[in-house]
Amino acid sequence: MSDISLEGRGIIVTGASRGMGREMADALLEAGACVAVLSPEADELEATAKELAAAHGADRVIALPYDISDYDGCARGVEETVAAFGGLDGLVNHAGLGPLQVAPKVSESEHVDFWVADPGKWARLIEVNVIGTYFMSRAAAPVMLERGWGRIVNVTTSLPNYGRLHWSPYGCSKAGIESETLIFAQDLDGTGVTCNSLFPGGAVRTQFVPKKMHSNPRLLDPEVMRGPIVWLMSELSGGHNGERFNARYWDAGADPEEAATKALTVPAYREPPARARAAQGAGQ
Amino acid sequence: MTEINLEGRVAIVTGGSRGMGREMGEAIIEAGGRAALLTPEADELRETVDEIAFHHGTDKVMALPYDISDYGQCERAVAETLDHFGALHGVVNNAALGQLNVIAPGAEDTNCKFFEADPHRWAQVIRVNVVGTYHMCRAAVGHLKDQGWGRLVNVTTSLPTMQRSGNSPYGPSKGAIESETLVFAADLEGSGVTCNSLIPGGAARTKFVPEAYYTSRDLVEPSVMRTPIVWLFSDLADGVTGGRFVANRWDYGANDPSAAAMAAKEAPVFNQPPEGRLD
Repeated sequence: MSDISLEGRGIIVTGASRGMGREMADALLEAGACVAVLSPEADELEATAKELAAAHGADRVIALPYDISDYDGCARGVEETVAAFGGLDGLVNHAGLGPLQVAPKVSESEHVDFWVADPGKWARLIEVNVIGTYFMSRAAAPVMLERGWGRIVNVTTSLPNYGRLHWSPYGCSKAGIESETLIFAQDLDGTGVTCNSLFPGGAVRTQFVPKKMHSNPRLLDPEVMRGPIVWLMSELSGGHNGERFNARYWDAGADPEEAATKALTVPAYREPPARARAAQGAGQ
Repeated sequence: MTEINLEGRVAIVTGGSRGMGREMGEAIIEAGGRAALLTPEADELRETVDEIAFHHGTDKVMALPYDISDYGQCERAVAETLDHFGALHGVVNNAALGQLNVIAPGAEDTNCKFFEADPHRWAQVIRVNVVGTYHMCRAAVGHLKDQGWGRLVNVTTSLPTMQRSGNSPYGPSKGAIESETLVFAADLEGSGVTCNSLIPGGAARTKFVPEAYYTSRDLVEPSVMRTPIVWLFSDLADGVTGGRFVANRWDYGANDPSAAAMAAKEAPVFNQPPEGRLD
């Protein structure tokens, strides 16, 4: 584990009641930060917040029982974090609905053809993942901009998932978020606030993967996110904006800059050809 | 160049009352097909349908005054098209909200920093573009698969729009649609139904951009979409799926229509993981 100190930092982690979100919250607390854990699943969130508070100190953890697809909830979450910790330095946009959550019946939890998916659930996933990530960023950015320092990290997925059989709408939602990362990063250029993408680099032993697969030794453990998220939330990552990091290649034994260099990979979108660059403009 | 005949073919064109959608609808009709034009802007739709009917015949065109962000309305649009024309061969997903939905009226350009946008207007662009495109594909695909032939064409945008400052939410919405094209094409593999992306190749002279652009910028004419959409809806494009075609790179000098199309084909917008990595 690195010895990066995040003491005095206030950070929101969404989807933090379990899985990778909880791991990241725990890692940030361990590094000294104050963490607001957010999830609409209030009971699980409360239990997680209690456990994290017991391990790291009751004054360093708050629970935000909000739904990121509701902008007012996001705004309230930011306000409460600032009130509790005296500021907001980081946002981990991790909350999202998973690829198993669009089958018509919950009992049929599996990847399905897009015409088998329940249209209401398909749309809901986009609301939470694409719009929710924006809503949290929109609510948090002004507070960070005011202080001239901040970190926004969007949790995404591996490149093949953007075109993989049966991966709508999950892959599509994360493709949208990759574009958000690139654009938000440039909107923030020069402000002291950065925006980067972080992804685990493979299927992770969480509820996003069918239970029966959890014994598969090739699955990653949620802990894979710990090292990179601490570095991304720290002073050390300041020179990185609009980049994409694969947690799988984070070398916990190396010094953070070297570990980050190994984890850094290609952006999600192809570089525009020169002709497109020359004709650069908004709109169609 | 060979004339393509779309006789008997029926397409739903969303955002069909003006701009590129209208051009594509007219092109399909001029090639012998029929078009159901969809938009929630009922008055403009009525006028457009009347004008097209006057030139090409009342049996060639119909109006679908619906909103693609509502799945029930998409199902109704498909049912009415089948009822009225007795056939359906594909959907052109052209309808979209653009940056004009989030920038201040009269702004000089379409740039909008994400932290300055109205969150609810931002979200609405995603709902219409990302979810609406899915809704229409979802509503139409059952019939298309049953007949073993169909076309889903998603109109997206140039690469810089998906990754340059000021382009949210439009850029992210189109990035997500590029992923829809690839996943839907994979889901439909072997069904006879294809799914491709089509882009104009630059900002087009439509109501999608501020009027100041008409004089200040080098714009692409909406008619650039005509030949590509006709080719995509023809048998010549059988088996072509998961592709991305750039309309203003169509090779009109080529001696057959498919060679003209292949000159305009571009790689998917997403990078591949570097060799030996799981990125």
